[in-house]
Formats: sequence, C-alpha cells, structure tokens
Amino acid sequence: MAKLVVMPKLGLTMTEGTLSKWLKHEGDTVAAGDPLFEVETDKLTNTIEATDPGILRKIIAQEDAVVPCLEGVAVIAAADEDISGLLASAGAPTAPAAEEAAPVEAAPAAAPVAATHNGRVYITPIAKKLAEERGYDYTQIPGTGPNGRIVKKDVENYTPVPAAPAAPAAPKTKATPLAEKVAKDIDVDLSKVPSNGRVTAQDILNYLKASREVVKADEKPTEETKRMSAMRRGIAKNMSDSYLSTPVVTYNMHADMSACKVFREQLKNGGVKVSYTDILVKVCAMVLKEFPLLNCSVDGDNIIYKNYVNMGVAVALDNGLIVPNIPDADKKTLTQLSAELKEISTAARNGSLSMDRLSGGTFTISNLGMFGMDTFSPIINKPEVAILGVNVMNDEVVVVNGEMVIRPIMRLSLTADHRTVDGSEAAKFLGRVIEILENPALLMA
Amino acid sequence: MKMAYMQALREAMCVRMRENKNVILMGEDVYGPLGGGMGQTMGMGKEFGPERVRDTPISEGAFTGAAVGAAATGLRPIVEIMFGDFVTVVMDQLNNQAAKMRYMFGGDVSIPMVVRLPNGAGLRAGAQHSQSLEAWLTHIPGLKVVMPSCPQDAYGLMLSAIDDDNPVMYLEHKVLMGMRGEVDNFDPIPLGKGIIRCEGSDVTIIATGKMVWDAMDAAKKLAADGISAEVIDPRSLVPFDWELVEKSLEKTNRVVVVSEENKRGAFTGEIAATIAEKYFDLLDAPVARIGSLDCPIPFSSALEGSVLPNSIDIVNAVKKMF
Repeated sequence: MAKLVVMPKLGLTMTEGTLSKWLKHEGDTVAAGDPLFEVETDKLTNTIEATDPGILRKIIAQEDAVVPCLEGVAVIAAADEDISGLLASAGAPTAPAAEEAAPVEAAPAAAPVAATHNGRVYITPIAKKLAEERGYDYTQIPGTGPNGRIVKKDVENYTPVPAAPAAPAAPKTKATPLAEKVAKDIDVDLSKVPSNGRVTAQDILNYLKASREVVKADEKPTEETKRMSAMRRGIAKNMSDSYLSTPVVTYNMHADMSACKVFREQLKNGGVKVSYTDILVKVCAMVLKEFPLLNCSVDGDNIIYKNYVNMGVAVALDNGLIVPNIPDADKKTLTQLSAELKEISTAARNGSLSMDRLSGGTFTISNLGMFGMDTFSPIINKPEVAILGVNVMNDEVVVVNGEMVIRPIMRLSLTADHRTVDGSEAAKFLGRVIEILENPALLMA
Repeated sequence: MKMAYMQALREAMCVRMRENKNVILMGEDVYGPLGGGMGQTMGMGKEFGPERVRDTPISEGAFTGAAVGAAATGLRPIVEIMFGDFVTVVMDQLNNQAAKMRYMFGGDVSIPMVVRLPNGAGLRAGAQHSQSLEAWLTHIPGLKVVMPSCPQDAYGLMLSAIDDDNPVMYLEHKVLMGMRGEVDNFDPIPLGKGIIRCEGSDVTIIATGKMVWDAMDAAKKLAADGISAEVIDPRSLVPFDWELVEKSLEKTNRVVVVSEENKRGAFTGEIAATIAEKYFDLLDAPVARIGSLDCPIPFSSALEGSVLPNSIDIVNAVKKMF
C-alpha cells in the first residue's frame, strides 16, 4: 500500500520544518523503524523514522527544503505500485530552503538564493572564477545546472542587485589611459586622487606618497557571508519580534544571600544538593502564584491568566540558545525541580529534548552569573511577559545596622512587559523574590 | 588518393622500407599470402623478400625480444602482434627492455622499433582477441603510443613511428581496417599532435581510435538538440596534445573523454585527472568518462554490442552536463 510520508508536527507550535538530510536514497528498501530523514526546526534536529515498509520510490522534498507540517516529503510504496495519484495529491512545494524561508529574513539585504547543500553552495570552477572576476557574491546567484549547481551561464546571465546603502556612483573621473591602468593595477580609487582636471599617473604616485594608501592584496580585510542555521534564524526572529513589539522595562535589585547560602549548606548536610538556579526556580514559581500578572500572556486587548507555572530556563548551546521549561513548577518540590532542571538541560545540550518541553513556558530565568555578569536586560521569551536575569554573586561590603560588613550579594535583573506589568508590580514581585531569598524559611510558609 | 586504412599503413611501411634497408618487418604470417593477421602486409613479402619480411614462430615473446635486440644493434624493426591482446606476453621485452635501455645506457643505445597492435572489439573475436589495452602501455615511461583513427593518420603516424628512435606502440583498430578515406598528405604526422575532427562550442568530446567516429555521430545527434560538440582526436596518447585540449576547453568548459577500454583504470582516467589538475578553473561541469563495461568482451555479437560504448552513451553523458 503506497504511503505518503509527511513532515511531522513535532510540537504544538511547529508549523514547518527544514528537511535537513535524507538518510535513504530513492530506490532504497525501507523497513518500518529505519531512520528516514532529519528535520531541523527552529529549536531542534530530529531523526524521523519510517512508519511503513516498502521502497522509497520518490523524494518530493529535497534536502534543505522547508516543508509545512503534514505536507508530503516522500512516497514509500511497493516496487511496481502506481504512485502517480499520491504524487499528484501531494503537490508539495519543494523549493529550496532559501526561498521558502525568505519571509523570516525581514532584513532588507537580499537573501541568498543559491541552493545550499548542508551550507555548501554548488558552483563549477569556471563559474566561481568568473563570479570572482566580476566581483559577484555567488551565494546570490541562482544555479540552473545539475544538482542546482551554479554554472558559467548562470554567472553570465546574472545581474547583481545593487547594494542599497552604497554611495551613489560617482561620476567617472577623467584620467589618462596610463593613469587608469595604474589605478586598476594597484587598486586606487581615481576619484580620490587630486589633479588639475585630468588625473595622470604622476598624480597617482603623488597621492600614494601622501596618503600611503598602498594596501597589499594579502593584507586586505576580508568578509565572509554564511547563511544562518535554522536555530539561529529562529532565535533572530523570536528575539526581534519580542524586542520590537514589546514595551519593556528592566528592574535591578540585589539580594543578600547570606541566609540562602546557609540554607543551601543545611540542605547539603541533609543530603540534598541544589544549585542557586534550582532555588531561584522554586522561589520564582512560588512568587509567580502571588503575582499572576507576571505569569500571563497578552493577546490583543485580552490578558490570558494561567493558573500553572511552566518555568523556562535558558540553556546556552555551542551554536545557540534554547529555553526548555519545567511544567507545573509551582507544584513541585525543590528536589524534583533540581532533578528536572538537570534532565532538561542535559537533553537540550545533546539535542534529545522533546518538542513539548520547548513550548508552553510561562516565565523564564536566564542565568549569566557564571560569566561574572553585573547586570543585563534580558529579552522576554514571547508570549511570556517577564524574564528574570540572574547575575553574579559576589562578596560585597554593605552597611548593616550602621556597620560595614561583607555579605554575599546577588544582583537580579527583571525585564517585564509594561503592557501588563507596571513598575510597582514589578518592584513588588522582585522584592518578594528577594525577601524569600533572604529568608528561605518563607519557602515553608 | 582514396585508400583503405590498412592499405595506408602498409603503404607507409613500404615507403620507409624502400628508402631504408634497415627497416624490417617481423610477425606471424606477415610474409605469406595471408599478409599478416588481417591482410595488412599483403604483398610486402613479395616486394622485400623473406629476409626483410620475416615469418616467425607463434611466440610473440621471442620475436619481440629479437626485435628489441635488432633495434639496439642498428635495425629499425616493425613487429606485428597478430592481436593486440597478446601484448601481455611481450610485456617484459617492452617494459623491462625496450622502454628502459636508452635511459640505462645513458643514451648510447636507442630502440627505434614499431610494435603494431591490432586493437579493439567489434569483430566478434571473443574475450582474448578484442581488448583495448592502451593503459598497459601508456603507463610505461619510455614507450610512445599512437592510435590512428583514419587512413590519412594511419599513413602519417606510421611514417613518424618508424622515424622515431624510441619504441612506438602503434594501435591499429581492427574494425577500421577496411575504412576508406582520402590520403593526400604524404608527410609524417608529428607524434603528440592531435586534431579537431569537428568544431563546436558547447562541449569537448575527446575520443580515440574507432570511438572518434562514434563521437562524430554523437556530435551530429547533439547538434539536432542544439548542442554544439567539438570532437578532438588526440591521435597519440603518449605524447599527448594538452595544448589542443586546453584551447578547446577555454571555449566549451565541458569535456567527455571516450575510449573503448573498459573504464576502470583506463587511459581516459589519466586524461580526466590531468584535466582536473591543469584546467580546473576552465570546467563548468565534472569531467565525464565513457568506456566499455568492466568485464571481458563477450563472444556473442549482441552482448558485445551492449558492453562497448556507443554514440548514444556519449549523447547521454553530454546531456547530463546541461
């Protein structure tokens, strides 16, 4: 029985996925459970297994194609089965990622249009040479050769889009033929060379002497254009959307962590090892129940209140950042939270996180303390309305009862969406978090 | 003057034998009425007598070895190996003696000999009489290798092969023996000088021996599809006319290399690899290579045809580049 293989929906918020790699070729025999292809979303890379046995008759979506969820990517069928009907019904777009993803790249700069193959642009040697000679960025040239390869003809037919912010073309400077040749050979901008009307070779030499503008070719600064990974594009889109659409204020306060330090030691002596992040997760989850406005989301003119706390914790990866969350954090003990946090951050780092852990968060904690951060203004992870930035904890001199004493001080930076959270509310929330950190016994209350 | 391919190579041998009594011919049945394996030497025995046109026992190793000695001591022997396939039994004489002596004796000895090797398939002669063993010979420094594809070249290349002071392997194609064509130039064709068989601008097809004509056929078919193919016949494999290839590639930027050898380890691989090394920046498509299937040549004519490359294979390879 012929089966259409579709782009899976790997989580509630997933609308499309990049088919990053085929693990089988057309014509391969496939057993149920065989790894079939890899899907890259803005958050994860997943290996998708075949659900039906048969022969991989037709690959509809090529590598790097962005395919909407539940659209066909391939057909698995028996060797001689007629699959034309399935193929016609699929009609899935198979445009390369670059074109499909165009809306994501809101930047005015032209998106690369050359088809990429795991980040490589296929271009023949002569086409590459020609593109370099003409000063074209070949990642901008659509390839029409086999495998989407850019061939000589593509370069010849290509008209570069003029770079928008570039200075208007200067009127051509008059120069002697020799001067023009010299300028070209040693790469001097003729328009900058002072002259009495017509630039001569001597004018160029004088100019060079004066400005010492001779830059050897191998000392020239170079630039390299690389396409963002799917995750980086996701981060770029989410952060821009959040930053540009939300009126935010960042509030900074500090906590005297002396009692908290003792509290943590006591737990340790009792056989419970927790980190300060674990404690912050517990404290915030508790305080959020008291301040529902920081645990909501905004939908047009409506505020959606949530009676649960899914605590997101930002995890830095080698090549990006993701925010998995602990569901129902307000109902869990410190030990449970600590264990779950360890679990999701490990899963995040080795890429085995499930999609559901990546959506549905209600609040986020982002800890840069280990980098010695004094203060920062984190960007809210939409659709949440607040994020707590955690800074370094240092021994500082503070005044207590009129005396200078040394105390471990932790600085906290809360960014909140002013549409729902006014300054007084944010200050009260942060104050309450600090109150509990300074009196951990309140966790029992 | 119109003549057949084998007539042209015979005429060239006769011209040099008339001019120079040191030029001699040896091989199986070359003296007798059969005139060699396929009639290439017919009548030569009568003209030059049994001393200069010597029938030999069926022992290629012995008479090729004798020819190497004769060349080393002043004669200019031509050896006919009845089927090119039997070059395998004279490899020690060619590789370890003929190809090396001039080097090892510091130039005091030269080996001016020609080994004629009827090459290729298409006559339903079976696996041991149909091979194209170019690569066995081109691999050896000290041997020159030529491959005429038409009567004119059979004539001119034979003159140059006899005139050369080094051992020259002369690969004459069995299927081309009866091919008739104009021979109007009676000068030697210098070794290492290829020729453009038909001009084109979209793709270069480098083909050798009989494959030149399959390539020409392919060029016609491609022209019907609007693809202009240039066919290059290198004529000699060692030395090779790289300049001609470079000029053509500057124009076409694409190249298919065709020979009748089975593809694995064929000399076409050497051509393709050298193009990739020397002319990488001229390429607009990967170098394509066409040869026979990697199996012994079948005796059955239907199967033989399916193993050998043809113009359709060339057309398909070219079309894949666009």
